Amino acid sequence: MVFSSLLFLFRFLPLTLLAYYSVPGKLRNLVLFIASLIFYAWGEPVYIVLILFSTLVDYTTGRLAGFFQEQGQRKRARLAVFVSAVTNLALLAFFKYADFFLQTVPSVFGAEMPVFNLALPIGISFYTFQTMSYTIDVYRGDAKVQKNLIAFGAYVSLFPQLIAGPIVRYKSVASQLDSRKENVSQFYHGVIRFMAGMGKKVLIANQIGAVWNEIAMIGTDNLASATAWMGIVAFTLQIYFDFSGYSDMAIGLGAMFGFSFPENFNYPYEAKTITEFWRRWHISLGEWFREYVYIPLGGNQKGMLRQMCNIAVVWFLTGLWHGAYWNFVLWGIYYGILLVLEKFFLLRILHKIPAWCGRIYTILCTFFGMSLFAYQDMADGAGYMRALFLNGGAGWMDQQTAFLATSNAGLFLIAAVGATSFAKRLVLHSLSERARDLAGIFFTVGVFAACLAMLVNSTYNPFLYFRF
Amino acid sequence: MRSIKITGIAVFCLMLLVCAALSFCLPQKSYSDIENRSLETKPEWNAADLLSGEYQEHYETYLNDQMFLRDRWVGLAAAIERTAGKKEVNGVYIGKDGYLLEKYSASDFDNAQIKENIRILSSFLNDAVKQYGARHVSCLLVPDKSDAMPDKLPKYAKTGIEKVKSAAAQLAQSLHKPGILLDTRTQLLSHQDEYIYYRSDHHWTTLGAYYAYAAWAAQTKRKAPKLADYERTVLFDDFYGTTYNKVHSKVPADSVELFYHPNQDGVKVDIDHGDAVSDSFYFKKAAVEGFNRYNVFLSKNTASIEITTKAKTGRSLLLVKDSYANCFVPFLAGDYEKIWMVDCRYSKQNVRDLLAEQTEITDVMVMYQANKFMQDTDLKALDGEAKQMETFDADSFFNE
Repeated sequence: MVFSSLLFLFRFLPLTLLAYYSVPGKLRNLVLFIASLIFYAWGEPVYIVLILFSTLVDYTTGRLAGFFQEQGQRKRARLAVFVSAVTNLALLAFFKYADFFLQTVPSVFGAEMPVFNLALPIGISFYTFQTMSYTIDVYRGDAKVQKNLIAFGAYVSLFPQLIAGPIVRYKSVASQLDSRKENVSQFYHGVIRFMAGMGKKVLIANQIGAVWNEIAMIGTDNLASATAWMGIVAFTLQIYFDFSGYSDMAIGLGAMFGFSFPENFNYPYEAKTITEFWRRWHISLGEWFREYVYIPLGGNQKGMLRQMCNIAVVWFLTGLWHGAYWNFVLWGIYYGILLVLEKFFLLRILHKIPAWCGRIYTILCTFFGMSLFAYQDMADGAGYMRALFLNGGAGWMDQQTAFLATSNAGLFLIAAVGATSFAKRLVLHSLSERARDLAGIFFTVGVFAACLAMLVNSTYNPFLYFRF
Repeated sequence: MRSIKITGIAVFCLMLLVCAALSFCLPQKSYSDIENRSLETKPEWNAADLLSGEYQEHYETYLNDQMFLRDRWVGLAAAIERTAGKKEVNGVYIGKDGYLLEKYSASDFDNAQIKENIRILSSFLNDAVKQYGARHVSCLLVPDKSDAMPDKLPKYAKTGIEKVKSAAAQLAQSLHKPGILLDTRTQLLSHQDEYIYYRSDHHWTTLGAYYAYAAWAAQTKRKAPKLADYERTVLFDDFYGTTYNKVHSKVPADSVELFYHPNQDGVKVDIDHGDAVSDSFYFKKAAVEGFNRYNVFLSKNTASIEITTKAKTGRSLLLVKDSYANCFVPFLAGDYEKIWMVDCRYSKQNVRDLLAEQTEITDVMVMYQANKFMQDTDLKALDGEAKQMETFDADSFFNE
């Protein structure tokens, strides 16, 4: 189930809110757990077994790790962590990467092997990371053991962030799981945040995504360079609005149920360096890798060479996490290299030049990164690069470029401004809190209506020719 | 401050609940006239469908299909996109002077299909020429609105014209006799400031059809009645056609005009072998029933129509056509005693069989909207080879 659907808005959310607020506090985790399982099972009923399995494994390993830690048996506690990590990574490896390796490894020897062709269970990349974080946090003494299976189950399956993050580490919501006080202000801000996210997804990401799709459909042989650039700008904006919109909706929904989730995006396209970009983009993933991979490997504490190795490992994994395709690995490595270059000397230069130069450098690097990210087929990606930088089949510019530019200028402008903190700063500066809250109501109604219109329109398929 | 926040929460929850209640309680529709398709109704659940996820899929389609005020939401979406400066919404160009034009791009055409259609049509026309003589065979490809009225397009908008031109050239090349393929586009282009196509519908207006008729008459050396010879009446001025239905974007309503000439008196129209019989080309009732006022011309699309006129020309016509011919054919009332109209998309009978059957036929005309012709997948009824295949199959079946 996705948030931006009539099913979620007209069935799931009202029913869940009603059920949640009509039971006493003690039962609310249970309501969330059940609702989340329904949410998860809606698309793929069978895979519900996986999430329950992952929940049970980490509930057990977490308790064991806590128990042994209390007894001072560090080795056994570590074994529990090991079991948790192996189980989760095995799940992830099997469902997400098995086919990739079965295709890649034999091909090195010129052989071929049958593949599983399994559908990727929704959200598996997110919830396996979350459950792992729990056992590790317990082992490290960062979090207390969760003895209530329902509360733990609610954490693992929590529907707001189940399928697209943010990756909520256990320690950041531990206390909220046991005792949280829902309140009016939090709920209200949750509504605004949810609607903002919905607007970002439905009104901007989907629309500008349609522009990208149209351009990608042209085929790189007939693509004018200017159109290709328009395409990559559209894709860059789409990915941001899609992903951050989803995070906003998750954070907003969490707030409606009394949770305060960590932020996941902080206007990444305003960053002045790539280092800064990654502190603003998919923050929860970056922190996860930092906390559970980079620092345990020694981080920057064990000499330059070791640090470079650690960065390489982290960025290889970050790339691979995004999908079992070589272009994602390449994309990860690309950012790894940029970050190393910045550490060596670029940062010093970037800090000296004017801010706008840094911003242009960062956004250009991002465009290039996105063109690696866009095509899972490396040959298609290379073709698109050719259209971007070398005069493609249709020259630098053509009639299509002109039409796409004039028809979508408004959309690009809204999206470009919307990707910056301009609107937020404007509202904070010019409106009192009272006026903001009042405006928020109109915002909610307006965005709700506009999103409904767009959602209905996207399923509206007049079928005209055959009967007329 | 708290009270404003509570109001905000209440408004949000109320919107969810009201929409939920409406979508739950309102009666279901099983068919959408405007979308021209069946709508999904509430699915029955069972364990197997639930486990496979099929029930869930149907349920979501049902929610979307049964959404209350569906057309209004689509209209709102179009209004939002237009406000943001979009020149194209749902595959429709928002043109000048209230014109909505369907968008065609290269990817809308399948080259293999075009090639196949040209093969079928050219072989049909070549065979017709052999039988009836080049003077009595003609093929009119009606240009799409965007190619007949390019001034109405938004700036820089692309149309399917390049594809159409190359297909027309290929067709002309595969015809053994020149002059059969008629260029109606030049004629229509010279009148593009006039009301020759509906703003909200893909069809041409009766006036547009008249100009094509005049061009055909000139080419085939006939004396066509002058425009002034017709008595023109506006029958409807509240027409919102199929292009409008794709976007529900506000444009002025279209008017539908009838062109009356005394040669239309005493006409007999027989639709689908007695399915409907009339003494007029115009079916007002069919046009009022649905939204589609264009149905006034020979009712809705049907497989075959047989027309008998009072003309004494000694000539009868087979007209292979799509819906563009429906408002064109009244102009032929003075030229043919009998007209058989066949729509290959609906006809089960092979047109070649009909030709063999109806020995009165002296002339053959093919009329298609050019873009739709290139996309058509139902030309089998014209295909001589397919006919041979069919008989061959039947034989081998009985031999077994």
